[in-house]
Amino acid sequence: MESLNLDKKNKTPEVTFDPESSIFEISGRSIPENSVEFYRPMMEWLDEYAIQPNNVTHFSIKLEYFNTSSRKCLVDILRKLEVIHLNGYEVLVKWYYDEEDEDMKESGEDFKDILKVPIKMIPITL
Amino acid sequence: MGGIVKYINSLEDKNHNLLSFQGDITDISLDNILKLVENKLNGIEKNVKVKKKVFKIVVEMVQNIYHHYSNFSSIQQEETFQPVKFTLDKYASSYVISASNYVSNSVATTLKEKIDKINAMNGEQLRAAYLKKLMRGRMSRQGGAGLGMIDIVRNSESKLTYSFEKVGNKNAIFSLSATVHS
Repeated sequence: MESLNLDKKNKTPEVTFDPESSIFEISGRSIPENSVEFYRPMMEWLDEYAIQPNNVTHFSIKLEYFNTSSRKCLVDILRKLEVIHLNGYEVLVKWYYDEEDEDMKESGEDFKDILKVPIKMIPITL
Repeated sequence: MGGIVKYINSLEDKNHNLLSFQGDITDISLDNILKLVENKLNGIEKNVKVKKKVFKIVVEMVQNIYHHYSNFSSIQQEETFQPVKFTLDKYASSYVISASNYVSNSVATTLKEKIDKINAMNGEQLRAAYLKKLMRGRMSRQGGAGLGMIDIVRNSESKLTYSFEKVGNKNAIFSLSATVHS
């Protein structure tokens, strides 16, 4: 399956979904006006990936901050990973957050509370 | 679409205004506002937490008026000029972020109920309401007012203030302000 690569922009994060090298990462900031449009290719890519996923998927999210509409889209992304996990594959979401950023920590905990996919909280120093 | 675009860059201003915008809100003006706000905050605010909080609220508020503006413009063709406003003010120990836009009277009623309800909630209730909305997943193209409002309150850690000013029989100017203590 072909990888999905999006460059980092002023309002959107860098995205790498590469099953061959086992890199799945969203990093940067996510504040587009139309998050649904921005996240659509990722949703579609994950739908296809879910048909024949890797045995192990470690998915890293390293966001500086994001707007409300991105947050909703992230829930949808994580739901797709949840399905893969519930189908018996190993999935781990690594939620990286600046250790001084309470809001980003809380956001990760919010996701943990509403989703069944395993989420590991990883504090980092920015 | 015509309009007035005005940026005021005056830290020395008596009214503590860091940035004011009035006019048509387009992709370009929206980007400019966000860039200007970020530059200003980088220049004057040392506390990263406060800076992030203010910027996040600015993003929510400006994108909110952007979505409502485009939405409102398309259904209210008889109006020739529908300005939106945005201001960022800094006081001795706080930032105040304010935005206003046109809404129909029916939207005004819903918004008022929504904000009163949010303002009456404590931290735990806000989180519970937030998670409930978040669980519903993807939103419409216009965004989800409820979640955005709660996000603003959770970030600012203070109550929202608002007003509705009648314009003719059908519409009102909705103004919303959030405060972040620095």
